[in-house]
Amino acid sequence: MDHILPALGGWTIPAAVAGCLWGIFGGALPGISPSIAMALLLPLTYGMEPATAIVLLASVYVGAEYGGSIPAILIRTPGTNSAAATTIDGYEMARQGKAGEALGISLVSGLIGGLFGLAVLVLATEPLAAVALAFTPMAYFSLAVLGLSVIASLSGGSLLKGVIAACLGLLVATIGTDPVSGVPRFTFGSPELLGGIRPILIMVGLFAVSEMLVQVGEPDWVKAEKRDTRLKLPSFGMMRRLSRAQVIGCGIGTLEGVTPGAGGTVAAFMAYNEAKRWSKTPDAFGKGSPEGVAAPESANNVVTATALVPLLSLGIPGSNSAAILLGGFLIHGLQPGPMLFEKAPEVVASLYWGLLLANIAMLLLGLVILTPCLWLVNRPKPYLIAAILALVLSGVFAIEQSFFDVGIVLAAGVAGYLLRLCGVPNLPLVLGVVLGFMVESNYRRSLLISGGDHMVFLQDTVSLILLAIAVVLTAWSLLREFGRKA
Amino acid sequence: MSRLRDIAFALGAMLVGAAWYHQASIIEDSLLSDAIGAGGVPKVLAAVMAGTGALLLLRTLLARPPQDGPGRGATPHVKAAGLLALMIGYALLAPLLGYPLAIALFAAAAATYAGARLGLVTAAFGAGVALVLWLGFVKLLGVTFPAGAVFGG
Repeated sequence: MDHILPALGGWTIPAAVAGCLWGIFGGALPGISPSIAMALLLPLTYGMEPATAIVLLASVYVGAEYGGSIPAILIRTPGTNSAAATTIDGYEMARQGKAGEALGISLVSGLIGGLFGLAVLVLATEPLAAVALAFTPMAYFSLAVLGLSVIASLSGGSLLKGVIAACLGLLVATIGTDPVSGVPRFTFGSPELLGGIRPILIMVGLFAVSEMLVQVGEPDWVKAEKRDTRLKLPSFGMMRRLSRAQVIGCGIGTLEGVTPGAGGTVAAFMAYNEAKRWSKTPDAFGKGSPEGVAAPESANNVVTATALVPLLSLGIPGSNSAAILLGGFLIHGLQPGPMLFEKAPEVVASLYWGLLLANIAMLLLGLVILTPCLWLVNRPKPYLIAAILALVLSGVFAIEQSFFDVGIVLAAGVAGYLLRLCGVPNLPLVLGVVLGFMVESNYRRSLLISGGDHMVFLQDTVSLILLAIAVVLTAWSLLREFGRKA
Repeated sequence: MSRLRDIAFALGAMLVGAAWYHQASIIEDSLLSDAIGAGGVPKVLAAVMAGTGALLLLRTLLARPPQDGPGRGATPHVKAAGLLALMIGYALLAPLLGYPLAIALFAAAAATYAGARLGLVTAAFGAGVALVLWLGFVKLLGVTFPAGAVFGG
């Protein structure tokens, strides 16, 4: 009780609620990533109490990671990178008139993930920090390979097309400055390409723009009265059905969250893949499976808490969002790391309570705002297409204030349209873009360390374990895919 | 039709792979480079992509042509191309007209193109979308959008 009252006192509760609301708003806008939503508030925290400032920023992170799933489900536009996996079954459910149910599953699964991640953060920060420290460049490379191992089951029945799409994504990720030598590659003299292409631009183009290009030529969609017009929380029976997917999401989110650099996107895709593998109805995945929404949503919301493990315990920001939070600590003269728990225990306690409040606020705000969101997407199709594209064009420009980025999104949209025509799955491409930098930079760093000896990937214990898991999972997926065709 | 598309996709993959391999081969060496080099990984990926494209082409050519249903014709692609042209038009006109006017015109034009009736409702819709987005992005988030060369000076 001595810790609870001071931690919940002052502006902690308003900061958690306001931060979560701001985060949901930012996360739901394509182009405004959680880190951007947090960075926009950073200057406002100068005059705040340290605990209030940290709670505000962490709550934005929680809200934004959840907010990204709303447009992913309703308009096939992932608001954040980590919501990309949610589009697969979330949007499919929405097309079947079950958008309210999909949003309910996403909300509850996000809450479960967020609370589970918080419990892990509070109870297991010390041992999990050791996991983070055990990750060498070899282990990071193998972790990325493990992420790529889901390609076989994301290929939608055509492995060759999936491999080509993944290669294209990995190649797109090589555009920009070489991570080792600093030489520009595939930029054709364009300074805008020196920093590479942001994965969110490819995702928005592939998912949102291509969908609108398809929809404009399709007959009108199902009338509003046949579709969910209200948020529908999952029933007890549905919760039982989703529990396996949520447990998988929580487990994978914990591992990926504590690993600096891995992030919610990889966690969401891997959770989706494993939920499909262990599901009683794997064939329903990709066709509007509720488990296909629950697994990635649990995983990426676990990450909002577990990504703070390396930050709080070691002072290592494992993601852009954690780096902004680190900035928030430093502004107030606090240095995250082992001594933080000794020097400012009240700030750590406030952060824990703030995260709990942010998750509760996420649920309450979701209950309030999701039904109006459903009303919005049930408007007549011509207006909806125009509004979605106006939002996409504005959101993409907002990232860097660059029309060059708008051009990239339009090009990705055309590519997505053509890939759909040819029956090519776009998820392996997205995975390649997301993991490309991680694969190449850590592969080459590892070889620099070993003097060019590839055995280094097998000599590092963590790397060996991850590679073995990747081989087993790939073989399993391939056997299942070929077994289904036979 | 799906066979033709598979052949076109496989050929496209081979072409992109070959072009990427060529571009990777002409990347200048740096004194700071490692043994792999800046072009090493892209070359491997491009080769895998082209090789997989060749496999797909072979598989498609050897397989029995499937019985395709009736095609949907070119109309949906023409509609898609028109919508794309509107988006390109927005990107070109926004620096001139300014963000609020350009996005309002785009929203109204896109809605009309997608099937809404041109009239007061659609014009009000365009203005409303522009107002909401301007309030959200410019006023709330503080994003700087082009004021426009024509009206903004």
